[in-house]
Amino acid sequence: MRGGDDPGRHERGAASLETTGVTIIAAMVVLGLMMAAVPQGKVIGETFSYWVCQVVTMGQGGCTPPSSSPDAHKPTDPCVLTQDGVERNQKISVIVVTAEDGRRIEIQKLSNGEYRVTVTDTGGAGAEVGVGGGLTVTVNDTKVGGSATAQAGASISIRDGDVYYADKDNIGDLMDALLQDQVKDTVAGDSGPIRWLTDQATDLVGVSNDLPDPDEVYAEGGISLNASAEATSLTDSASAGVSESVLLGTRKNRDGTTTVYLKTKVSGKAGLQSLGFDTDGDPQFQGARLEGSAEVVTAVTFDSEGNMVKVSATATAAGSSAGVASAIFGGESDPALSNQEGKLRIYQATLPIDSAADQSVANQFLLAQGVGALGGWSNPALGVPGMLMTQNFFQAAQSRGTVTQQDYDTSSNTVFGLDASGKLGIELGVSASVQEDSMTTTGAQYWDGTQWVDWEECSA
Amino acid sequence: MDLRLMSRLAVVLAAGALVAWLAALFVGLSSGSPTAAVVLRTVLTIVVLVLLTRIVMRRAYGEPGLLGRVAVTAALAYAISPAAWAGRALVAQLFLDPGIATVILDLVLWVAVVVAAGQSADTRTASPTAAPYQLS
Repeated sequence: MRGGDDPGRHERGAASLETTGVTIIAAMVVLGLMMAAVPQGKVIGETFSYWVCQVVTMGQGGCTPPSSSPDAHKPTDPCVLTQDGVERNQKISVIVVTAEDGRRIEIQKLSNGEYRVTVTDTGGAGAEVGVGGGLTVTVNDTKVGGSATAQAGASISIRDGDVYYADKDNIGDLMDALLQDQVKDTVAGDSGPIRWLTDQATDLVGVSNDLPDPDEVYAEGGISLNASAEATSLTDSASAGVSESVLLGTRKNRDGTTTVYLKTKVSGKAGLQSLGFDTDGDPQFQGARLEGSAEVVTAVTFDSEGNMVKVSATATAAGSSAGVASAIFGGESDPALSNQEGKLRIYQATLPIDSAADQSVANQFLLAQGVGALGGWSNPALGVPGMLMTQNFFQAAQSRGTVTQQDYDTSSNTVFGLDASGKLGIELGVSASVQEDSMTTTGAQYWDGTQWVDWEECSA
Repeated sequence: MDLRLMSRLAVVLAAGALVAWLAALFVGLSSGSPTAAVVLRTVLTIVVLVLLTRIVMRRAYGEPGLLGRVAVTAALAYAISPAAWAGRALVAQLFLDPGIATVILDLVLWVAVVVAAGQSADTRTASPTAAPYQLS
């Protein structure tokens, strides 16, 4: 008998092939279920889709990069744990307010153990207090006005100033040098023959503690550190409830990059809807005070060659800004922020520019704010800013960048008495010679791609 | 009060004020307080002006017009004080930003202090007259 006559011989192995096929399919189903169940499954799926897209389009298509793994969403930049500010009115007077000469020193303890000391001119006492004065906050390299009880919840000001970094062993020397410099500026002025004489005398006696060169430098307005201010193009946003962007200033960072700061004001429900956020039917928005407004600070960082490397958006949720700010960043709405003085939450979304898709999202986000150019950079995004452009940015940050929310308790002897120290102070010509404020973090979370998780390093 | 004495008083006052100014600066640097430095600078400078004026004035004769010359000398001393050029010599800086206004205010206070010190100083008797036995 030949083998070909044996039907069973023809089907020999067929069962195992079918079994194998069924097993593979079953395995894929199980794998798919497992991938759907675990956080990494989404990332793996997106990675697969991304590379398929890249192959099909031969790398020319606008393929959306995969989301980062949950761990990759954890911010690596240090955050601010505590901050103390002592604002000295250099003319020392408690009698007459005549402007300028103010200086503000902010001492921040960062989560990596470093101290960051920011020295800025406040532009004098009275006129600034109650308007742009009071508590300001520098969080994750973005300076945001706190003003916890102010109507807008965030008042922004960036002024010319210097930033110094010091470790625990050197912070004392740095502060001594700053104070000595302040005394010298007051007694002898910051330049001229008498200042020269002072420096020579103190060096000779050996009592002087010289101030080091700053690690970073702030510049108020313009893009003087990067390119010509004339190249900056900011147009009025056509969107309802969204103000035109205002250029706050720039900062030359110690890693050689330059950050340009802009602010936009988003007002209430109309503003949110203009940005593409649906305010109807979402339980998160219900009860939030959407009639308020929030100022969003956008920080665009360029490397030394002018390439955009990072875009971040920051807002302070406090007072009447709490609802709007929380809605923009997808944060957890906390009614206490609307009602309690001395509490604020800082939201920040950061998107590193690692791909063409990231760049496109960033361009459209900036276009939505009316930013056509920043120094030497021109926005290639075309068209009228429309819905979803801003929302796309926050979704991209949630997917491939970092989104954080950090709570602070604040105290100040000026921020809670704006009328008294500001308007009344101007009327009477009286201002406090020293204004102090402080803030301490009470909790922090970051978005891991699927949910908010505790950010332990920044919750101390 | 002759020209030589006036010059001597002006130089002594300017030098003494500079020493007081530096001493206040050193103390202010150690205390870290600009306010303390300015207040101390004012106090020390005034003390120095009073003491030096009284000391130098012992050599002057109490003659008419003496206080006027003392005032001119005080203004001259102020003019050659480096701190005065910046409006940071005395206390006016506590009330106004340093500038021409503080220069003038400090000048007024400076002259007033020196004149007051000169007025209360022990001077020689005016115009020594020749004794009867002296030949004229």
